[in-house]
This record gives sequence, structure tokens and C-alpha cells, in this order.
Amino acid sequence: MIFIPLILIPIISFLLGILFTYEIRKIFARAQFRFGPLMSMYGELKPLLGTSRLLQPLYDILKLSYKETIIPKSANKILFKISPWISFLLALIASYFISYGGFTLLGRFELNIIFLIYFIIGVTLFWLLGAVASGSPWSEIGVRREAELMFTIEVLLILSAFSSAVQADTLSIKGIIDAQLASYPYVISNPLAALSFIIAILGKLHLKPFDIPDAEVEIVAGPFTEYSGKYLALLYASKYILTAILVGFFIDLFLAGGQLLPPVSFLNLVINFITFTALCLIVTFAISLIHALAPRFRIDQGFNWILTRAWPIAVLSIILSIIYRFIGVM
Amino acid sequence: MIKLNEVLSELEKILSPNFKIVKLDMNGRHVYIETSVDKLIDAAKYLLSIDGRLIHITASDEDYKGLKLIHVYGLDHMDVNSHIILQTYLPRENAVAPSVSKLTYQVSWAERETMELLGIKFDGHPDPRHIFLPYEWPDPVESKAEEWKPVKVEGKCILPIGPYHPAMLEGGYFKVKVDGEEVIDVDIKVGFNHRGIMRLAEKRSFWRDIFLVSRICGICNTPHALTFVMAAEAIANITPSDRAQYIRTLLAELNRIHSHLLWLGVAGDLIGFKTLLMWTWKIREDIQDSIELLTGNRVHMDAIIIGGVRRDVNDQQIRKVEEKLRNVKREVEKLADIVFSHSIVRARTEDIGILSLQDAKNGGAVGPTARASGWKIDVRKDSPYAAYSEEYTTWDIVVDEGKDVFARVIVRVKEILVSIDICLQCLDALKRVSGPIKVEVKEFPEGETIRKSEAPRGELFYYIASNGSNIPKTVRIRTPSYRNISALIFMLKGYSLADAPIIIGSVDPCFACTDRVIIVDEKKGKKVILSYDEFMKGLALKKLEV
Repeated sequence: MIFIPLILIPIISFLLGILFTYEIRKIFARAQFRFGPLMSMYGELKPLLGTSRLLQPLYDILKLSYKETIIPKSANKILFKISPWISFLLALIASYFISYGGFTLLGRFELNIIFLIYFIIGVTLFWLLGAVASGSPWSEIGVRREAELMFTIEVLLILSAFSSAVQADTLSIKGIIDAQLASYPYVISNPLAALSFIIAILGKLHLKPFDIPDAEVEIVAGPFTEYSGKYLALLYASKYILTAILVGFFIDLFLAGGQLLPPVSFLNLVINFITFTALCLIVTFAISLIHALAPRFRIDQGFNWILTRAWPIAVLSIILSIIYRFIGVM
Repeated sequence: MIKLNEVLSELEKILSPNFKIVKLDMNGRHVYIETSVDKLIDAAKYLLSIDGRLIHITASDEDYKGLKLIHVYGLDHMDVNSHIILQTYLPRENAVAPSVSKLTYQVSWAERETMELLGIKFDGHPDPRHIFLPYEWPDPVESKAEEWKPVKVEGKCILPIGPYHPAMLEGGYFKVKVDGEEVIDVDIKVGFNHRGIMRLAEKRSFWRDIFLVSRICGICNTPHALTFVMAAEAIANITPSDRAQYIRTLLAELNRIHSHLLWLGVAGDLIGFKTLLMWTWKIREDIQDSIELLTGNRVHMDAIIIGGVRRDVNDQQIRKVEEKLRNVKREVEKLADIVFSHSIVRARTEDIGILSLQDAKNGGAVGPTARASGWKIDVRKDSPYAAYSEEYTTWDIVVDEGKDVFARVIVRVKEILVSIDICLQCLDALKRVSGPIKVEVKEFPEGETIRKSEAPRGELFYYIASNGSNIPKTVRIRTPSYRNISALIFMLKGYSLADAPIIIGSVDPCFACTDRVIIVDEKKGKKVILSYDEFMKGLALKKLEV
């Protein structure tokens, strides 16, 4: 029985990543009076199927994967080639920890939040390593910005994840979901933690106002500048999976994993998965709106903003959780 | 405020005995003075000391008389319409003149251009490098090819922004030397697309030149055509009718609105505000539609001809354009609210790229860039042309004391509203003023003239000389971006790399108009935010140290 989730979960997280990336792109476009990913459709089928090209992010990857891959002369070839693979692999492993509406492989055992956070950091870390190995000054500056951003963003991610863990008194994702099912979703009791987690998602996924590492008018594509062809496709794929993981992690931590019904039968699992996806789409909608309506911070401003505005929120949220924990309001 | 008569009497004392007024133009406000070479520096010292602007230095080939060196001084910001044009003749062989750029930075590029195009040597020029040609010319360019690659020198990284870069749509090369994130040195090489339009214009008739010069720049095409036509009309000694003047003003202002909206969008993109880009460009569509309605073309209007305009405007068109303009006004006011109060926009634009008033005067900034530094210069008020003077339309110059990028945003957004106002006044006037839209031109007698106009980016200057035929003998153009890009050296130093694109963008650079080079001295700045040398140590980066 272990083989079913082993094979299914990466596929699910990849498809969810494509869906969320599509949504971010579409809402970004609609906020700007553009159409976003679009395809031509027969006139009679239009009312039925619409004209949205849902799989556009997948087509991007497919197109890149059969394009020529150029490796710069100045690059450290082994590191340059191996880093996208490792980051993709780490993203795949991280996807096993998420509970997709009760459907999970590694979500049950204790301390798995710590593992998950390590894997999430690992994905970004290997982006940076590959970029440094490329030897391009654009990547260099992108990496430096990304590293600076990481120091602040990871703290937000960890604090807000742990505030849920403190409140549920467990370090397993399944445990947190069960605790929420027993009482109420933690987004109600601790909205501050949810807020700081959203900020962390924006930072991790390089969405505005934190798209500082790949600001194209300043440093071309930041860490990804020298990548092309199938390595760029791999980096994109790992980014899509990371999108699914982070948004799913948010649902698990603050919205009871989207579990509407107890996961006893197959039908209940399917319904739970649909609820989970719907909640994910709502969260993605929120982050897309922020993405559309904000300009980019300069790195020092972004750093300061997180330090002075977002960190206090995260610290408050964890204090709130400790208070809940000790006065026993679960 | 100094008057032209006082300046002239003082100048006569300085230049005597070589002081000869050769021509008076524009009711005696444009004074053409012939003098000798050695007096030029004294005249420059005096005219700059009374806050005069050195608009341009150029030269023209006068056959057996030699090369005519022309210094154009503008005093019109102090006394309406006043200009002093100093002329002197140099021998055709080994022409040498004193360099004025020792005194003021603003003509540095003009002198380098004259050096390159006409071979006049300027004695004591601080930076006598090539301007259109590669620096290494006549050595083969390939020998220095590595200069165009990213390299790492003494712990500092040199980044190439350009010749092709996402921040710029046109070919320009900004060699930025950074220490961490901080810009410590900039070298700009432009001139990748030198088209020789001034030479081309001397090969075609006046009529064909109108369409040639409006192709210098796609965005501000109408001011180019308008200024050329005004100069040609001054030579042919004709005045267009009031109705034609109103239509010209309307078209020029529509051009300004669309240029400023375009700039606002690009500036938004440069600070990562993609949504602002799309919004402003959507609003701009209304302006493009109006232009299409009035002239038949969406971008290149080609509506202005010598003696008037090509097409008349009827009442139906007036109503439609009025409606569209009101719509644009509403949208721009909404947008201005968002832009002025958005905290991240303010954080990204306030207190960066500061250009002090003194630097603006020394660097010769023009247009919105100068007005954002608190300098109240606007050709439309200083030397009124078309229908900008008091008896035609009423409006005010927009000035801001902020001196930073945000001030430039404010000035441009407010100017959009002022321009809409002028357009509406013109449309009102067109309902009652009737008359011919064209005056016939008989001949272009021998003569020379200068004319200026306020293009969206600033003061646009034309010098035209005719030899009596239907082909102009000399055409000299000084575009506003020429000045504003050269003034960038005062804005870029010491700011973050992330700010470089918006600072460069804040002057609305138009490389199609420009093609020049500048240099910034290296400056020891603050510490880096994160010691990246240590961070990178042992990794592949050491391969960069070529």
C-alpha cells in the first residue's frame, strides 16, 4: 500500500503547483487588464470550456526541456549541473510531508515539521549553489540578495509554523491537523501566525514585493540568469512544487488541512482533497492579489521591513500560542 | 532679473573691439553677434556668471569663409525670448578653439560632438574622447573586446547594463562598477545606433526634412517636427494662422500626455510595479485613439507642415476628443492618488538620485528633470511659441523642490493634468476661431535661425541655415535627452544598484535622440551590506578574476 502514495504524491503536488502557478499568473494578468494564459477554442465549446490555458506552466517546462542547454565557460560544471537536480529532488521529498486533505505519506510521525522546514530551505539553498557555480555576476548579486532575504524569511516561516505546533503541543503535521479538528482552525485563534506565514510564502516564492532576487530590470534573472534548457525547466519544476508545498503547508497549519470529513473511506478522502484544493486556491488568490498590487522593495528596505514589521508579528504570534497553551484554551 | 539690454551693453564692453551685431530675430530678442575666438572664454565667463544657460555649441562649414563656431546662450528664463548667439570664424585647417566645458559641464558633450563631426579641436577639454565612434578608434575594436564582459577587479564587480538589457529598450551601455550593492562608478557608452540624421537633413528639401526629423524619436515626434517647421517658417518669414497654431498646440500636448504616461508606466516597471505599467498604458490608449482621430496615425502624427497643419479639425472630432480627455483626466487623478500615497513607491523613489539645483544648472538639466530640482524653466513660458502665450492659453509651470526621483514623478504626473487642461482650452478655442490652416510658402531666402520648443523630455533646440535653395545648408539639433543623460553623473553616485535603473529611468532617457558617453569618478563609499567576498570564497567565482 505504501507504493500508491509514493507514486501519487509527487504527481499531485506537481499538478497542484501548476494549478497555483497558473492562478498566480492569471490573477496577476487580470489585475492589469490583460488576459493571462490563453488558448484558442472552438466557438461552440467556449461557454463550456472557456479559453484559459490551465496547463501553460507545464507547457513552459516541456518547451524548455527540449531547448538547447548552454553551460557557461566560467561555470563549475559539476555543481552547476547537479544543483537543479538536488533542489528538484528535495522538493519532491518535501512534498511527501504535506497532508493533502488527509492523504499523506510522511505526515504522521513526530518531529516531521522540522524535517519539512529543512527540506524547504534545502530547495532554495541548492538554487543558490547552482547560481554561484554559474560564475555570472548577475547570479552573484541575485544570490547575495536571496541569501539576505532567506535569513529573515526563514525565521518568519519557522516561527509561524512553530506557533501552531506550540498550540497543538505536537511537532507532527497530522497531530496539528487532529488538534485543529478537535477544536477549531488556528487561523481563528492565531491570525497573526497565518499573516506572517503568508509573508513568508511571498518571500520564498519571490513574489512582489519580495521578488528582489530576480528583479529583471536590475539583474536580468538573478540566480537563474545563466540557466537554460532542461536545467531551467528543472528549476521551474522545483519552484512549482515548492508553491504547492508552501500553500499546502499553510492549509495544514492553519485551516485543519482542509479535512471536512474523517478520512475513513476513499470517497471521504476525495472530498477532503477537493476541500483542500479549494482552500489552497483561496490562499493563492490572496497572495496573487498582493503580488499584483505591490511594487518591489529594494533589498535593504525589504530587509528592514521584515525585521521591523513582520518579525514582531511572528514573535507576537508565538507568544499568543504560548499563552493559549498555558491557560489551556486549545 | 537681468534685462537683455544691460547684458548687451556689458557684453559690448567685454568683446570690444570685436563686437558686431550681424542679425536680429524674433523682434530683436535673438541677437546674433560676431566676435573673435580669443574673446569667447571671457564672454562665456560673464554670461554664465549672470546665470545664463549655454544651450549648445555647434559649428557649420561655410566654404571659403572657414568653419563657423556658434555658441548659443539662453537668457529667456530671466527675460522673455532673449537669446545671444555668438559666432566666430575659424580656419578650415587646424581649427582650434578654447574649451568652455572647463567652466561648465553642460557643453562637454556638445564640444566632443563638434570635435568628432567637424574636426574643431577644443583646447583644454577635460575629457576629449570619441563620442559616436568607439573609444579605441582607429584601433580595431576587437582588441578591447574583454572590456565588454563582466569582470571582477580588486574585489569590486563591474556589471554591464547593456548594450541590450531588460531595463532599456534601446541600445545603451552602462558600465556600472559595484561594491556589493553600491554603485561606485558608472561609464556610459551610447552611440550604438548613430543615424547621421543631421547630415541626412542637409541632403533633402525642407518639406521632406519635416518627416525625417520627426523620425528622430518615435515618442516625441511632434515637437521635433514643430521646431523644425518653426525654424523654416522663420527663414521663409511667414506666420501661420491662429487656427493652425491651436491645432499644433493641441497635437504637441497630446504628444506630451502620451509620452508622460508611457514614462510613468516604464518607471513603475523599473521599481517592479508591473500593474502600474499596464494601467497607465491602458489609459494611454485613449490618447492614441484621439491622435488617430485627429491625424490618421496613432504614433507618428506627421500633421505639421511648413505654413500650418495638414488636416483641419471638425466639431465632431472636437467633441469626441474632449470626451476622451475628460476620461483620461479622471483616470490620471485616480492613478496620481495611488502613486503619491503608495508607501512602497515612495520608499523606492524618495531621497534617491538627488540632483541639486546647482548641479542641475552646471549639468544643464532641462525639462521635467530641471523642474523637479526647483528650477523654473519651461520653453513654453520662457519663449512662447504656437499657442502657449498668455493671449491664447492660461496655465502654470509645474515645479517641485524635492530634487529626487519622486519629485520627477510628481512633476510629470502634474504636467499631464496641466497638458490636459491646455488641450481642453485649445479645443474650446477651435470651436470659435476660424481661418485657413495653411499659409503658402514662396521661397526660403538665405539666412540662419534658431528655434526652441518644449518636448516632453525638455528643451529641444534647432539651428537651421539656408543658402536660398529649397535644401537647408545646415541643420543642427540638440535634443533634451542629450542634456539629461549627461546630468545623470550627478545622480547615480553612491546609490544602490537596485536604484540605478529607476535613476536612469527618471530622466526619461531617449537613446534614439542621444548617442553620447559620460564618466564618473570612482568614490569610496559606505560598507557593503553583507560581506560577499567571504560568502563566495572557495566557490566558482574566483574564475571570474580574469
